[in-house]
Amino acid sequence: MLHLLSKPIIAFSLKLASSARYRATKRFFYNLLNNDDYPPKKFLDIFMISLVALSVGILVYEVRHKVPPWLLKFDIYGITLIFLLEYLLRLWVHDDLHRRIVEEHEKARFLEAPFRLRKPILASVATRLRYMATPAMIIDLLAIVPAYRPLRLLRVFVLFRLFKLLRYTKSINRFIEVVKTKRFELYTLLFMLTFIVFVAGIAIYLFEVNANEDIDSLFDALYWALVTISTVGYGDISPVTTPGRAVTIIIIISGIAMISFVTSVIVSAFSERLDELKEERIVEKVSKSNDLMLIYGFGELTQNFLMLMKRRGDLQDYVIIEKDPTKLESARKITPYVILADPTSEEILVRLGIAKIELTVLALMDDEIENLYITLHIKSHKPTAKVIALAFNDEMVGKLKLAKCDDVVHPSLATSQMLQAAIAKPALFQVLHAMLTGHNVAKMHEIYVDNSSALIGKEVGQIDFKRYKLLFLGIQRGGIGGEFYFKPAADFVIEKEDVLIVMGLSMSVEFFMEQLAKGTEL
Amino acid sequence: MRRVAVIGDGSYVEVIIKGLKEEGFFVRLIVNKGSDREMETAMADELFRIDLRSDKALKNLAFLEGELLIVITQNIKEDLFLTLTLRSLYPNHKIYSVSTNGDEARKLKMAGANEVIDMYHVSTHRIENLLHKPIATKLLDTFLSQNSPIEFREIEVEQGSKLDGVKLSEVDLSSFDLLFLGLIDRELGKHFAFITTGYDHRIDSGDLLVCLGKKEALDQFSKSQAQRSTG
Repeated sequence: MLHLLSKPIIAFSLKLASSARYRATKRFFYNLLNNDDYPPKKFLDIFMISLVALSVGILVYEVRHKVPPWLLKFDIYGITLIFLLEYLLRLWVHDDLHRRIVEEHEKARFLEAPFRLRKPILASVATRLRYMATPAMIIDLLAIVPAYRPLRLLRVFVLFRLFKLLRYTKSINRFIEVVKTKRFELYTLLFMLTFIVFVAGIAIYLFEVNANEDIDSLFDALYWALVTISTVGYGDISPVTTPGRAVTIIIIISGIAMISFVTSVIVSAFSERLDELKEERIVEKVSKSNDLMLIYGFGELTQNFLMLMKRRGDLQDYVIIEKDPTKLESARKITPYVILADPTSEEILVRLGIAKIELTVLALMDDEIENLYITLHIKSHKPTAKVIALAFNDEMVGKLKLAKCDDVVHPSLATSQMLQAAIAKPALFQVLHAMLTGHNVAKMHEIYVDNSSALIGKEVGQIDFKRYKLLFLGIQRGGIGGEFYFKPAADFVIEKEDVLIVMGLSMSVEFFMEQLAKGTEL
Repeated sequence: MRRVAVIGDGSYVEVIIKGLKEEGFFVRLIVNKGSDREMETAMADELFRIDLRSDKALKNLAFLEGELLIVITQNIKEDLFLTLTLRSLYPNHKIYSVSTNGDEARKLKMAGANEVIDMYHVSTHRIENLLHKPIATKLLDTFLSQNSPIEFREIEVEQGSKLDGVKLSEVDLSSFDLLFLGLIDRELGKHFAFITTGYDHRIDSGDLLVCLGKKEALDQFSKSQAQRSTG
């Protein structure tokens, strides 16, 4: 039978393999169900969580109240259908049967061997069955079962719908992942716990069954042992004989030790992964922004820069990448957005999704050679990224420019210029210091003439800059690489995309822009 | 020739000495005995290796009157020690130092430094300016570079100058194609008054003006000041 169907099945598989629409659809559902970085998945997660909450809420409400029939029908049929659809979609996207068939067909043609349809079908079925046996899929299947309400026992499976929440909540998943790293220790503790409970249970049963009316069976004894070792101690069963109490003492001490061991294992699992967890959260947060600043190195300059930007309230989304663990600790006292990583790491750039965003990079490592490497590293991944690097000598400035660094910060040169001015030209020193350190009275401002600006076509002489207490330096035409017209003549006409360079207080510039927007005579 | 003594061998001493030499200073470099600093690499005119912790050794250097002292060891404790020591040994000399943050700058001033350049203060603002005002920042770089046709210049108002007694608001440098940024009004101390503050100072002889303009225009303006004072 399969043999007869081979040709049409192969034809159909080839058609699917070449269908862009089919591939796009499958990719869409795959991302929707499995890809945490896919934005629409968030809405699906919220929707599914709401359905689970509603379903469990109906179950709880039904215990003591009458649920409206339409709501009950929605729970039984509607929600179940949605869960069933989700289950089938997950099975569908998990494997590509058509691709297996095509590969098998091509292999058979190449080897000039008979094509066996059974092989790819069985392989695909096996893969899907393995997938169905995973805990998450078992939970999904059990969550569908409560649809058959006449069988009251099955209603309790609605609680399995709560376990579905594990799929949709990252924090619970993270907890499970962290605990998984200590599987071996936890299994060992579980075995020891089971062993002690059994031994203690049997001992207490032997000592107390005839003397204690609360212990009738081995189950009662085991129940007591577990309640005692977990330090819960309900008090519903208490030992009455001396040997029984001796066993109790031992089991209480064991219980305290067990609890401590389990706590320390889980805490150590979290501590070991704490840095990774913090990093994941940072990466998750910043990868959503369209405009990111990457700062390499947490030295004096980075600290000063962050403080300045925070004071100005002008800090865009940023991440600091530092390779020194001691500096990382200092950095974390000031900001949470620090990642311990090697500056050469490509993985971090991929995780941050730099390909799709506006990127600015500050290479401020203490080692100039690392800054040079970072410049090349970033430019090779994203040529449009703006890179500002730190250098300590003139030769390195030249090399950074060769590496296509956009700007170089050369503290020694600036210091030298300031020292020379301080020594020889006190007035000029104050001017330079004020201009270079952004004193309000000496700030340089750029006034960009966009397409809709009222400045277009105006002559420079028509603008009374003195009225706004602004010192007009000149006009930059043609962008950064263009020409600068220093103190242009009064009849110089302003064109669109010109940049007027003025000096003065920020409030003077703001007032000027307000008047310009109002159309007031300047 | 003006003299400067650079004390210490921090990693950026070469850049500073190079700049000072270009300004025409005679530079003495004083480093610690154990330092392997070579005179050639530092381009200083003279090199001394002494124990920087010894008052006697520092006293023996016998800095001349008017010789400027720059302390750059790149270790704040050493800088503070040296500044304090030099201040006690040479109470009338001007001492300059370099710090990496505001705290250090304050301590150095307390130790007796006349002027402290915060190395990263300027660089921090530079990064901010490069991000938000790249055009203006690059222009400023151009004005400050050695071969720029447009530069800043400090000009003293000579006795009898046309500007003597003129108010800031009345200053018209248009005939010289210059921009007037402000002045140090000697009557009011050493503080620089920018024209953008709106205060209408009166210019007196002895005041220091700072102008921005083309070299030729600045030369012409300086010359016109000198001519008036003799004419």
